[in-house]
Amino acid sequence: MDLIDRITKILNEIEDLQRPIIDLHYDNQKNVVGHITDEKFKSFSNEDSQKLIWTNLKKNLDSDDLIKVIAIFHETPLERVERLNGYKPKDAQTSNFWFHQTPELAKYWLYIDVAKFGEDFKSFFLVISEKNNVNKGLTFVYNKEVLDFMELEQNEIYDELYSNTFGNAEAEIKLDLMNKYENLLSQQLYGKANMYWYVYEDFKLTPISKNQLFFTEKEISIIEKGLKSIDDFSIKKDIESAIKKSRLVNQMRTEIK
Amino acid sequence: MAIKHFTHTDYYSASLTRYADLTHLRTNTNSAIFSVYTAGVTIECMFRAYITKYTKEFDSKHDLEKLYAKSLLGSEFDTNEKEQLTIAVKKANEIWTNDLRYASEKRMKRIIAHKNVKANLNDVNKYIERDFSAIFDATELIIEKGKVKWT
Repeated sequence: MDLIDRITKILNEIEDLQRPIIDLHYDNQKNVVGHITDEKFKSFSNEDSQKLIWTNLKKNLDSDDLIKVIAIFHETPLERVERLNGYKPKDAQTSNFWFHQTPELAKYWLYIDVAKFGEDFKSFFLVISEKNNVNKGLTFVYNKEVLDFMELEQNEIYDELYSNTFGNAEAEIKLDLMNKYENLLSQQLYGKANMYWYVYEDFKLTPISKNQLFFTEKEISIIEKGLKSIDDFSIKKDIESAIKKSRLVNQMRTEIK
Repeated sequence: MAIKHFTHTDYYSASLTRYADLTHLRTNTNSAIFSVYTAGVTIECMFRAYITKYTKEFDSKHDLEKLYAKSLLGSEFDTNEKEQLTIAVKKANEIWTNDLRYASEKRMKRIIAHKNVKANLNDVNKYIERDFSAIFDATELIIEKGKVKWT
């Protein structure tokens, strides 16, 4: 069996990992280098992550093979998104609501806001996709000491926090779509034959106005759950009012049928 | 004047010179940003020295993980040392990017703050210290290993 195949098998069988993505290749000297991605690395230190990798390699490979392994870098899925996509400046446009539809017609909604709560500033994002079973949210809290450390003027705070939050939210969506790309890759769908290729080169979120928000009943149920863990940002009211409007329309549609 | 070609000894000497600069810079808190930038350049020069000497491949990118893999420096060491080197490169790569040369002190602080806020860390007094000691320790190890195997 080829060395990369054997290493891939060893790494795939590590029980402490959830769903590793293994990306190894040979260099010109036939040495093995590459990356292993798994959500579990988020909770491990760099030292523990490398120990886990090398302990398993040492247990299963002989010394001649071990010499050929130069480095296998561990990373979390979000670090992988950053490595493969790099930094791309965001459009100057800001919106509280964003939308993306995949080639399989799965809809991703992104809600994002920044607001002042007492002396703290908070920003949050919520990413929802009913079809793809995604419900991810995160709140960032910047207390006065942190804001002072960042040397932010009052008129800079919104843009700075918004931009960082948007980057994190976009990475979450890309991560989900990259996983879909990987799944299709395992079915031998390469290049543009893989319908999710665009995530790496041409991914876009579309800003939408609050009047364009319309949800299915299933989406409403996921959004309501997600909103429970979000502070009292003003866009919550916009979303709640869009939910009410959507419910009415959904009910009318059911009655007409 | 544009220099078209750097030899492996140019890169190696540059690495040691930058390392000496770093030793001086890191003692001055006003040079914090530049010292982090210098740490990454020190590492990059060491990897480029090995790449130019052993593989002749030129890589215009500034990705420390990729440069380390291409340098074959790891192939000179046993598995425990490779493990330590991989950790050091990973840590340095988490903090350093070539774009830091354009970063103002404010921008650098904002990058560090966002990262710490995401990890729910609010003690600003430790923000800089944590990042800096990580990249300086990584640089020290990589330069030490690079020097040991340089012939």
